[in-house]
Order: sequence, then C-alpha cells, then structure tokens
Amino acid sequence: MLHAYKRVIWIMVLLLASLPAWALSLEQAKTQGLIGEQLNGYVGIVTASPSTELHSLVTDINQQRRALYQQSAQEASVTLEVFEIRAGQRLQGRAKTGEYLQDQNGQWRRK
Amino acid sequence: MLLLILATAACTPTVQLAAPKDPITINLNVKIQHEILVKVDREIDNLLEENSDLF
Repeated sequence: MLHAYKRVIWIMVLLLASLPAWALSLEQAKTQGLIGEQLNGYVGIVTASPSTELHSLVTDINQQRRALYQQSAQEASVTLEVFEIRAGQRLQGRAKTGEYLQDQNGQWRRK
Repeated sequence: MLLLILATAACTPTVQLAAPKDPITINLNVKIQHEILVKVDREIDNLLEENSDLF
C-alpha cells in the first residue's frame, strides 16, 4: 500500500523533472506580458526591450510549433497556412485575461 | 473607317453573365468546410493536450 503510494510520488517527480526547463518561462513570459499570441498561430515579442533569452525562447517555441503544425495539417488534409490561421484563432481564444494578443492591424492588445 | 467601326460596334451582342444560384452546391461546400474545420480543430485539440509546454 505504502509502496504503491511511494511509486506514484516517484513517477510524478520524474514527470515533472522531464518537463523542459523553459516550460515555466513560456507561461511566465505570457503572464508578464513579454510575449503574446499572434494571429498566425505563433508567439510574438510584445516588449520593446527583449532579452536574448526571450528571443531564443520565442524562436524555439515557434520552430517546434511549426513542425507540429506541418504534421497536423497533413493529417487534416489542409495547407499549413489554413492550419496556422485556425491555430491562431484557437490559441487567442484560450488565452487568459491580461495576456497580450495581436489584432488584425498588428497591434498588441491586452485581453 | 469610323463608320465601319461604329457599324460593327453596334452589331456586337452584349453578353450577360449571371451567377448560377445553386443552393445544393452551396450547402455541399458549407458541409465540406464544416467537416474540414472539425478535423482541424480535432488536430489542434490533440496538439494542446500532448504538447501543453509549447502552447
């Protein structure tokens, strides 16, 4: 009984440890208003003075997203562009209040 | 010459293009579009679930 409980704890610890180091950073960057969801399904830099770290975070996230979009678009038999636009809509829709979203004019607006 | 041009111009028939109104085709397109959207949305759901660290 106690053994099983310990095992579950261990698995949880391992799962947490396996999360990429920047998982928190993405969330933080969004909450702090440094980055926001664009219309095209990718994150963009909001802050006027982005750090090198923020630049690489955005590039890294977007590269990985693009690879996934490419696969998923193929699965759904649509072009990458169609998939990106829909992803953008969905991601902006689920963004939390206070986070920055890009509007049709390219302006960043707080949700 | 001018007379000739005017004469031929007068004979030119006007072709009127009317957009075909076919509700069946429109309904079919809407249905297909809806099905595609459902597919895309399902794929996005999977992405959000399996790659929460990227979104």
